[in-house]
Amino acid sequence: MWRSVVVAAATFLCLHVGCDQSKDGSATPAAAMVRVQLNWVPEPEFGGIFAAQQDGLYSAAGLDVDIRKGGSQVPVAQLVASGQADFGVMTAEDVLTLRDRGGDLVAVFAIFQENPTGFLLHESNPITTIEQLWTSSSTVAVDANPPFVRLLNAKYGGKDLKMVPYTGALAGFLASEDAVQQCFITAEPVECRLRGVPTRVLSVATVFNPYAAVLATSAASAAKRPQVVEAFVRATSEGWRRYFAEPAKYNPGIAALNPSMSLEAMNIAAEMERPLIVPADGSPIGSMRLERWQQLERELAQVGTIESGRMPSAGVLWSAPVGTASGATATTP
Amino acid sequence: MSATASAIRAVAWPLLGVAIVLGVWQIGVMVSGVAHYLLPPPSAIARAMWESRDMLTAAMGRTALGAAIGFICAAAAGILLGSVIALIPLLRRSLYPLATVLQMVPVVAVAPLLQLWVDNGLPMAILSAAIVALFPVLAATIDGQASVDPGLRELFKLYGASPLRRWWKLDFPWSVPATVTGLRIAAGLAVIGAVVGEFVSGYGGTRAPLGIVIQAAMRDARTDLVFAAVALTTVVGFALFGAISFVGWLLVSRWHASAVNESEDQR
Repeated sequence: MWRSVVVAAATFLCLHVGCDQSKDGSATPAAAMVRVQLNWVPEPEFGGIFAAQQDGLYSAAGLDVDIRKGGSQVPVAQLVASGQADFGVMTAEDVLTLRDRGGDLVAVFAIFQENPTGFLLHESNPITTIEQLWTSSSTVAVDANPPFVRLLNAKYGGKDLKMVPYTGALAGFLASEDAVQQCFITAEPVECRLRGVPTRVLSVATVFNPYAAVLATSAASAAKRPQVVEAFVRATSEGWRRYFAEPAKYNPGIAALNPSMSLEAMNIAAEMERPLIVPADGSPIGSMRLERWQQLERELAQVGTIESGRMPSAGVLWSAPVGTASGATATTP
Repeated sequence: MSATASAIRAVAWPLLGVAIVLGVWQIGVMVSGVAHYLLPPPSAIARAMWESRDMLTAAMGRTALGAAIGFICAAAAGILLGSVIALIPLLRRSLYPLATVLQMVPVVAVAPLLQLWVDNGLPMAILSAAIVALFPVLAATIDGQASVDPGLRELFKLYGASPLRRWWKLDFPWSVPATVTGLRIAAGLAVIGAVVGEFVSGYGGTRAPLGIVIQAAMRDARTDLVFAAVALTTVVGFALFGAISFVGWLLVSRWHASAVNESEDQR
């Protein structure tokens, strides 16, 4: 009798909880639930992730991916480290800072090889270099004291500069010819161009060039489900390949999720971001080098974001355990 | 019971409550092993507060200034407008619903818009604080003046008092307890409004108010510093609330039933 009960319970669980029934009657494993937390609203900077989802690459890899949009105040690193999201898009400095605070994050995929952060000015503004900007008395909308601001402060002083919060909105910038704001060089400048507003962009990459957007997960989660990480990275990598092959095919789906950026702007942004995302040395999309993490670690220690002597970059790169198929992109070349 | 013993008792119970909450929090974090970047124990928050005391004190001063000026503007405007609206029935019917709409406007949503109209930094914090603090004062003033004893109003009429004289001698004094209640509510709201304004346009760097300190600490995963800054916003709120309560007590303690009853309860 007990045997019948156990068999019945197992059948129930298989049918209703853990397994899907295929058409021929055989049971297949249920898709692994994967929550991906973005750090901004849907834009081409996440093109590969959306392309992978639109083409069913994730579901084909056995993943049920839920993409959650973010914003300037969403603490992505903390959400991932605490297990409330499985993967998150964040800056490399977010990863190292949280590792320094005890959060066990590992980076699995670099979206941006080159830092797309910049400062957006009206073309009429006489300032043409970051040094001029940082020694001026301009009002600049910028994230609250990020490492690149501290580096610029250390280099140029910036005592007269008035920094106000960066919200991502363009209204304040468009309202004043003197306005200066932080930007992604593939986003806000494109919107301005399409609105007929002539602008100038000063790239931050000349002074601070870490991986500006990486996909990270918690080390515990990666150790528990290495196949999921492997499958997610592989599908995302393929998603980026497809996205760059035909961005106009995928952008309408992204634009539908973000009414604040036009489809035309997204198509232009996709072309602009290609050289920032595809590694110049021919290595696969998503590749990372440990030296760049170590360089970032030194910069963060220099500006006091992390304490000198600690080494949060040690072990920051996830590597597929022996026995699983090799991830083409996640770690060192 | 002596006044001193009564005062000690009034302070001791809230302090005991705070001590119990902090103790449970500290032990809970230690026992559960929750990461400090998610929930720091009170001891870590106290340490962060001490280590960053200079920066936090300066930031608190800036937030307090914005909240206090915003509150004073809201108090003056609320009492003045409320009195005019209460005095003129037509205005009460036409403007009061509009004033109610003001309460419904989420300041978080309109703050980016306000940024287009006023300067960054202190002006924005003042405006944001004033907007959220205005309605409680306005509503309390109108309600207080509208609830004057009809018998007394008749008496003023009988003696041929002008509307302005009746307002000064009867309506305004009658509404003081209600207005003080509105001011107390507004004091806490003014701090919230100021911080929201800072989130949108507070200056960063060495001129940062508490709203910006919170944002920067959050970005740095310094949850202990976030809690420390948030705790200081409540200190600003308490200070404003305390100041208003004291002024209110000075104004009504000798004659109003609320103050007299409270005093008798404590005996």
